[in-house]
Amino acid sequence: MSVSLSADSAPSDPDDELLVAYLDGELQRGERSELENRLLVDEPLRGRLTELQSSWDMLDVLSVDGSGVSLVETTLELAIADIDSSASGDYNRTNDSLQRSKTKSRWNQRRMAPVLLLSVMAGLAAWSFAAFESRQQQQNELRDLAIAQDLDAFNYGSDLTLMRHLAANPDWIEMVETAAELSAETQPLQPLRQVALDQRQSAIEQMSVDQRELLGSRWDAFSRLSDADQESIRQLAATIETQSDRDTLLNTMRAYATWRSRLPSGLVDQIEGDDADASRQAVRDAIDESKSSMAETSGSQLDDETVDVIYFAIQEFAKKRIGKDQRRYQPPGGFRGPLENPKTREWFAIRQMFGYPDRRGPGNRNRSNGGNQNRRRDVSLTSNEFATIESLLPTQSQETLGILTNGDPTLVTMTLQVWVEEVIRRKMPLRSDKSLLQRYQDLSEKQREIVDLMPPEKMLQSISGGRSGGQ
Amino acid sequence: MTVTESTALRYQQSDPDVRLMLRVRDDDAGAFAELVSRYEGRLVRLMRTIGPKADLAEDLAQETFLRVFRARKRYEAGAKFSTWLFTIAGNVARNSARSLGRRKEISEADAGRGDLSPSSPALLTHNAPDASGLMAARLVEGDERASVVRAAVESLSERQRMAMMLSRFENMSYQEIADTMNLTTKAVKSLLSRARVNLKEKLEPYIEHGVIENGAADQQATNAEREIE
Repeated sequence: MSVSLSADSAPSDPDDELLVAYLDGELQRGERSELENRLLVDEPLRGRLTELQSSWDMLDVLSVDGSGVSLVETTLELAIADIDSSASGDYNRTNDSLQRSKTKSRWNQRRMAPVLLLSVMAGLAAWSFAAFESRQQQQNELRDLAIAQDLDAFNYGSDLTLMRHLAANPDWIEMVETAAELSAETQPLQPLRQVALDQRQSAIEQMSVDQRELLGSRWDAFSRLSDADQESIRQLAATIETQSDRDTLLNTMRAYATWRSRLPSGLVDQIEGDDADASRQAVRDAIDESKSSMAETSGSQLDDETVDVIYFAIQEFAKKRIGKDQRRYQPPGGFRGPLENPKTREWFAIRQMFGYPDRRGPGNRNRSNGGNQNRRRDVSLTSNEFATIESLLPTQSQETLGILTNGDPTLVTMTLQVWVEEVIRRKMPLRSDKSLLQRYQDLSEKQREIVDLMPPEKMLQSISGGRSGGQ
Repeated sequence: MTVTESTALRYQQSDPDVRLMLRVRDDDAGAFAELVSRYEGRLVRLMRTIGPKADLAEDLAQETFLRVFRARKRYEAGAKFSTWLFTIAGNVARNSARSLGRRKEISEADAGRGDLSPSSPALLTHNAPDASGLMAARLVEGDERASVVRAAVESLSERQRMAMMLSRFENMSYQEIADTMNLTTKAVKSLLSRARVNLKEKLEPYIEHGVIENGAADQQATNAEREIE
């Protein structure tokens, strides 16, 4: 069966016309509603609609604009040639037999031709100048883009003396490297300043969507600055380019900008203050604070194997302790239901023995003052028990522990205590490990459509299974 | 056709390209350069599809701009600038097709045989496959897909192609397309409906089975040969 194409004059199917007009947004409201009602009940019509749109969508391949070759200059040249030839043609054709008025008119046209020619040439020059200016502006923007990419570094790392102190401080470098290793950022932005100006555009095109979005947001932030602020950042960037240690400086500035955003404001003020001794002390405190904080948050990154190993170890410790003193580790009485399950009773006992020994109220931990108060975290296991857990850890977790603590016994103990608490939390009976987002993603498309239309409170309640507010 | 003062004023206010064209009318060549710069890409794209040969697209676009320039003294703001420009473009493409057709007739008469261009719609229509004419099930991607689509588009009539381009890529309403092509909106409606249906018929085997029809396959082979040359 060969495909016969309908010619312009061939009658077209009224339904096809209706569907096409619908797809082109050309139907009146009444017609549109009527068709939509038909589409709801008429499956073949729906199929036809989809077919007509699918082939139309394929026309995207024709969407490429032009050939990339500018026609402006050659078209203007042709326009000049056109004026020139028409003027000389008119002149040649002028002869005495022409009526006087006609001759006058043509003479005028001939006289006007050079004026027009000049105008076109001036236009060409103006266009060339505008094109040159536009290229210049684009080059300037590409230059600024490299600066905008490091906007935070230039904003917060402008004290080059402090940056050099930090770059020479092994504790700080170690902390920064640890943070980088534990960071989820797998693909850092390629510094545009290292890319030649004429290659920056293609470098940007090769960036991932996320990287381009990030760069775009930094560019927006840079664009929002006042002219004076932009100029001062450009000058700082230029100054850094002249330094012999510019790469180290820039890397330090970037790391410092990230680091300071996670520090309490009091510590930041001291670090950036004029008192050199206070600044050095604040750096030391902030490094401790950061290490502790990293250890505190490292629990959330434990893999399932590590969780199982640690839980197995503390189950064994619990059995030994219960064997020695049964009365002390009785689960809470008076409850029915879940506590009748032996596993649940075991979990409660483990929690009582090892979990959350240092539950702190909101007022018990004053982070804003800085300092390494986290280091005083209470522990619930003996040093032997910690050593056993450490020896049982999978290799990767041992490496993480090493990176986090750099062998500092206090930090090792504190980190392992954090991990034990995390393991107990994760092993809580009846607990769902899924986050709200994961639960939302698990919903069917239809359920999601329903949830999407709910008020926020009800949506939260629905996703969390009635336990809103806690997660 | 004379344009009322209020219409001219309306288009002057609403369409910046009309304002540029009025400056061109007053011999402002910079404004002409700006208009060429603004429309060259779109015009070349249009000419690639509605012109008689894709490789003439730039020449035809340039010819269109030159006609705009030559007609500048007679310009009146009676429509959107793009409507006027694409009307001229349609005429340029049609004239070019006619003149190529005449040359072809002469050369055919000389050669004594018919020789349709491998990309001509007529050949593609002639080669439009029946069920056994499909190439062995062959998935098509990238360039192949583009060739299939181009071949399908070339099989449409010139007016269907023009209406399709104006609707799909210039986002013109039926009324604007009607103004550009000097047709009624009802005619545009039918034209676009036929264009969509014809495209569907030609692309259906590809959409459903990922196979290339014989006609499109020939087209691809020809394109590849051209590239090698």
